[in-house]
Amino acid sequence: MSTLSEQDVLRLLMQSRDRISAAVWLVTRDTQVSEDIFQNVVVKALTREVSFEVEGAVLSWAFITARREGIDWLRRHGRESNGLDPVVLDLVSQEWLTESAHDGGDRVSALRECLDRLPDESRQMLRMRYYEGYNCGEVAETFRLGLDAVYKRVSRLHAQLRQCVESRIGRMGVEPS
Amino acid sequence: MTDPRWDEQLLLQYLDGTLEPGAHDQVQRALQDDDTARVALRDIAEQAVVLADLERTGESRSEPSRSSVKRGLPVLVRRAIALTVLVLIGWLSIAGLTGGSESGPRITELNGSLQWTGSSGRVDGDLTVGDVLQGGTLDSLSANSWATLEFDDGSRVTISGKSSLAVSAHLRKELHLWDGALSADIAPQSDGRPMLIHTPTADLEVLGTQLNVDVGASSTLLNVNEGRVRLTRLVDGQVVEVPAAHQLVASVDGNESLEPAPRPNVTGKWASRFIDDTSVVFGKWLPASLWLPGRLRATPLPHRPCGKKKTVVLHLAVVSVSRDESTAVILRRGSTIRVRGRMDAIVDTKIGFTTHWPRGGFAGKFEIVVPATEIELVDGEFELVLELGDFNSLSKKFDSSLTGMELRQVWAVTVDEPVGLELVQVELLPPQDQETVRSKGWWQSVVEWVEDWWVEWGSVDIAEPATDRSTRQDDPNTESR
Repeated sequence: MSTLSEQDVLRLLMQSRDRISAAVWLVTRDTQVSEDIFQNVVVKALTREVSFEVEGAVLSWAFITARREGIDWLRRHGRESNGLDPVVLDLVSQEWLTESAHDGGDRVSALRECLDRLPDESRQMLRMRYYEGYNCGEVAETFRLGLDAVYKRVSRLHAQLRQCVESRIGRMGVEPS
Repeated sequence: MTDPRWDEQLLLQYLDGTLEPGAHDQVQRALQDDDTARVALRDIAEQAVVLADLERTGESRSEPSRSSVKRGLPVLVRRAIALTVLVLIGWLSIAGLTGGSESGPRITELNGSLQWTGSSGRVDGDLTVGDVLQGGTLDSLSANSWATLEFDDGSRVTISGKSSLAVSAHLRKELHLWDGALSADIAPQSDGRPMLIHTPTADLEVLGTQLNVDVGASSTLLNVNEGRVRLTRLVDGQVVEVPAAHQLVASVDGNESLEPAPRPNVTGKWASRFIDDTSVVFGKWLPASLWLPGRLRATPLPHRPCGKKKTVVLHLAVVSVSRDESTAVILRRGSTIRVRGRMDAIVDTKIGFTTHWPRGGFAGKFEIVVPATEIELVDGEFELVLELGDFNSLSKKFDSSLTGMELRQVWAVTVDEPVGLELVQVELLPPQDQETVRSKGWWQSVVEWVEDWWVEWGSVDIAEPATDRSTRQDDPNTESR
């Protein structure tokens, strides 16, 4: 069986970039670190001695390596665990793996559009929490809201984004491209 | 909502660890048994990273909120507190009660793609001259990037090329060079408080000196140009003092001799030897086959140029001259760089090199873009012969004569298109004497010959501006090189 070329490996990893980064985020809860780890995984994939024969092997290796790097990062920063059950992490990674790259790509495109349509304040709240790394307590302090109110608003935003993505994907499915 | 599916609030609190034990266990069980709960968890994670990516690439619609949105105390109260703190700090400084505490090093020069990761894990790719770094890691991300840090006492440290340097948050000057190349001019340190430089294979104690450190996969190459450095080899704890004009390799092999060796005379000629991966800084070494010699294949490197939104993929190969050659390889007037390689298709190709001053110290990077129209492929192979004058300095500060500089690294890079770039051989060729005499006249040639002779004996730094050496201590040992 022939091995995948560097271009094939790179293409596969870039197609699955958000899912791999998301898997790392579940471990580290830091979006900046997740991006760095994804970049490391790409470099490792392209400079390692062992080659890949099938696409599944690339992604399987990437998810495992990314997760391991995430755990290493936690340890280096004095945290043994993030509280998420390893069994759950396995299941979630497996589900991301079985999702086709095409479906994942559509969903991420739709998500980008949906995020861009969020009202400014909602976007600021999500930005503080996920980009700037504030916890909900600090977000609550900034917006002068109660902690429970922030949890409610952030969870509502997640639900709205999910709905928005589903409706856009639904439209993509029925409308001719 | 079309589908209630799962309560995101519970999941968020679960992720934050703010749930009561009973509710926590309930969510945990649901995540194991209920795939709709896991779908919601995946959605949250994807939304978080995609949002961060939009913010990072500047595709957000408004300015970052940290300064503008962060609220809490009323403005007047916050201003009053800030004023009080400033007055207190000023008073402490005047009264000498701060104990002369040192701040972190300040960036005084930079070029190319650099990234600072603070101890909190926050990444900053937008560094500028004047930034103070304390407690974190500075990464120089590409072959043509570098940064110079200056400490309060005038000590200067430069990393260049693909390098990673951790800066301690403690008061003591302490650095960890995980990978890459470092050049340091260290001002005299007080006894008992040497500057510490750690590498994966050695610990260095520096009291005041000029040194270069080159960290490879399993070894550390130390060149001491001035002063004296105490090196501890980590594999066996053996300690050795390395005097001026000496070099030493500390590897993971404890059986290797740990004797400092005088740096041999300089040479104006060098050719890469890809017989193994010793000289590989970046790229994939390919062993010789029946038809092809050993060579260095460019490998992809995702790279976000400073100020740009999009990540590009560099296909980069970097070869170290200093790891390949124990003799210092010196550029002379009229030297040429010959690059022989292979590629599948012709594209614009950048060739560059890194230099050090004759007695050590980073002296700049130089690069040329060879347009595709000037590359000729014959059976997949190309040859480029480049005059030193063809190269452009990547910084005005180093835009001076290259004569007398030490050649440290050479790189080749193509952007985005993977064309299978491979370096078969890189050479520094000495000047052609006859051509020099013909084109420049007898007297000019005599002057240049004398300059070259002077450089070769290491007595005078011909090309080096005097101002750049003002902080370096004099050491009579350097004259013995």
